[in-house]
Amino acid sequence: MKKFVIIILFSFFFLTKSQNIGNISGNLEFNFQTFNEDSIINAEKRKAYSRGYLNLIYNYEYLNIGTRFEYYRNPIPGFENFKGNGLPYKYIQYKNEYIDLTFGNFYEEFGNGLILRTYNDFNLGVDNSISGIRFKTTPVRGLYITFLTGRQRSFWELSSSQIRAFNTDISLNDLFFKNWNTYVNFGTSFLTKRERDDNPLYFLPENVGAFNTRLNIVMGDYNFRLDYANKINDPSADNNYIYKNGNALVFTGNYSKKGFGLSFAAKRIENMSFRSERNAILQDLNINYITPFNKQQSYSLATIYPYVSQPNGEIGSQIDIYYNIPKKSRLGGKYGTNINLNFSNVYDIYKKSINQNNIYQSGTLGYKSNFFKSGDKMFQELNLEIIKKVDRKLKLISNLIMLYNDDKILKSQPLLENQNHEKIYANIFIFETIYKIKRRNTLRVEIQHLNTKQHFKNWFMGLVEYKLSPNWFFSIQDMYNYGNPDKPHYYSFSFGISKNTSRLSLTAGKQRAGLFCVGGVCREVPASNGFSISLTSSF
Amino acid sequence: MKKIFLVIILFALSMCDKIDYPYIEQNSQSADRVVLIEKYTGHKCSNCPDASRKIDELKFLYKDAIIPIAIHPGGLPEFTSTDNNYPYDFTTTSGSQIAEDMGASFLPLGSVNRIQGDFGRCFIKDQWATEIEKLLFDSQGNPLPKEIEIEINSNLSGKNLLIESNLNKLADFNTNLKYCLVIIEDSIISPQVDGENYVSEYIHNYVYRFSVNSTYGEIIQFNNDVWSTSNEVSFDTSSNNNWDNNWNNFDNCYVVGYVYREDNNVIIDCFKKKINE
Repeated sequence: MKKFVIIILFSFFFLTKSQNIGNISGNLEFNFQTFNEDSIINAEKRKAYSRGYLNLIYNYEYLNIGTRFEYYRNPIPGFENFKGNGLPYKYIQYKNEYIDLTFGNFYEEFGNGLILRTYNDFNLGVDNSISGIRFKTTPVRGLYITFLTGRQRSFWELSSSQIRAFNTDISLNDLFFKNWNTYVNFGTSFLTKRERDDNPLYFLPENVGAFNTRLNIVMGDYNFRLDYANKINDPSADNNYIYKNGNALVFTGNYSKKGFGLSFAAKRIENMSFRSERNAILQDLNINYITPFNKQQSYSLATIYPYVSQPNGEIGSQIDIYYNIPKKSRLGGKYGTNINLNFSNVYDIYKKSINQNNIYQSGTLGYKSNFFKSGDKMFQELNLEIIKKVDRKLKLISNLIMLYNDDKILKSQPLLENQNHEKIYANIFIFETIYKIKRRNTLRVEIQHLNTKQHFKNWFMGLVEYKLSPNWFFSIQDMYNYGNPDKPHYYSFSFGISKNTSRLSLTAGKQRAGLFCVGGVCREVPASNGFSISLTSSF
Repeated sequence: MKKIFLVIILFALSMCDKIDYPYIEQNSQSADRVVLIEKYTGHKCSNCPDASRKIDELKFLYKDAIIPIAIHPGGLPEFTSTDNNYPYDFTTTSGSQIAEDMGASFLPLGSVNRIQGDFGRCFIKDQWATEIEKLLFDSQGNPLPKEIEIEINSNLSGKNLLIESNLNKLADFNTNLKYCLVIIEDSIISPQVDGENYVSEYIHNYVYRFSVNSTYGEIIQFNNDVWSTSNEVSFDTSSNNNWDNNWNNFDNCYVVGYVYREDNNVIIDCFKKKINE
């Protein structure tokens, strides 16, 4: 089958080149990494790990045919089930102005993903695509309808349960109120999974349904969005087989005008873990997605204590303020100054046991929860960022981050011997300088410091990067955990070259053990000492 | 259009199964075979007490058709190491070896007769019931016949235990069978983290203490489908570091014997007996 698909695709490739019937596009990524033993950072010697994928899409008028070849050799812990190679993603799609029909694999998201979001993140090891049939139609402008059915991908296999879902999105302006200055969009979705009850211990629901409705209003500079979801009893490994219904409420509001932006978001999630199979764990077979309301950090030390989304229960809020001090003002200087303030916090939901049982006593309704009460604080973060362009050559960026991470609840951090999970308070200071030495030559220097009395204690980080635009870059960095009894250095050297749509980078050095997170979804990565090669390209 | 939406709503409602109390199956028919569950656990593992409660639920359903053993893997020190808060060392060399060989890379996990699982030969706790059912009953729900009979007699004299085992083969096997004897202990009171709570006087049950005839036992030499063997155990620190001169928990100790296939290491049957009965 794999050979057949590859032959078909390559035939198309040569056919399209020679006769100009349609076109082929795609992208690829290849990674290779070695692992040497390093007792100071607890890195184990492993066989070299390599992985890659190649996406190929053939397009001819309304027709798309695509597939993805994936390859994993000697995968690191957490990726073991991906070992091997194959074509886990393949589809045929017919799409015109009114109809979009797909057979095979597809990704889909309803609204913000509270009851359905399938996506692929190669680095995170997440691919929960659906294999089946999807039909989208736009019978009139302003009315968008989707039906789908299929099974989710679980590594190289498909889940044992069937998903069926429909979604409608309605633009009231397009349908009825074309002259309104206020834009109102309304959406509603329903999804059900069917999974056989093969557990002799419980009476389990074989059909679990979830409902989502949402409203989006845009008035001039204001934008409001309300999203609500409900899920019926769904006992699973995630909630320790309790029979409580789940629900989620998410609100976001934005205001923006030139030089100023304000956004506020709040959410309450209760028992909303939703997977294709009851016993799926870690990153496997998630049907829905809980949007994180925390700043997505990219600086090295700021990523050490991330917040991991808690679909079993969380109440969180975030406020984000952006202000641009105008040019040529006393504070703004010649080029203006950008200030970004971000504050977020997340609490556990309030849970009260029923009939003196444990809160997560399996085979019960679990707990009662007061909608307006919260439990323990799990995470809080204050970010202040100031970006100042001093002159045509020099740009300064400074960040102050004050965070609280209750690792006693989240239990997401690696531990030293005889160390226990604890509440972590940390202050992080980051200073970045970007200096244009001459045309196309840029020097970037980062200095970071993390101060905490808990966990691995204090860190210092320094980075120097030289970029010869547009093709070359070279960087050297060291993360020094000087508060740790072993005082480990995590140094690395990187070199990269990019040309057109391709990029090749080589890195040698050490990587700390910890969590790698994208959008609140995290995966543990082991410590490593070695070198890596990364190649990406699109065509 | 209204009709279409009405049909969709009716379709959606028919796709939801609301379950009413009771949620737990109260009865199971009696089984002929007995299944061994090796639960990999640790006193610093916050989710491990949930696995113990799962064992309690399974015991309620299957009664004596399951025998649990709690193994604390030394290879996962983040969960099993000792310190001021968790001073008791539950780990054993042979238990740690078994946990590693079965693929217990995180906790809690459990082997069910050591059949192939989702994580090596391990399953998460919520999968145990399904696997036990398949090992005890056929697809029609009839008890699967016993393939081997194990009888154990023991005689405790002072700190020495003499174990006499008599095995009777009831089916044909195209592989060698091996027999392993272990001592387990109930009612050890020692700290355990349970969720977010530190429980200072947690009761640890069916704890793996000592492998009597080596980690993986000995080959059975059947003669006319029967085989007998005798083994001895000394309840002192040569067998387990915790069995010092002050230790006197004989009333809560059991001997467990299990038979498994040498070709695929899958356990066929097991038997449990109190040591001083």
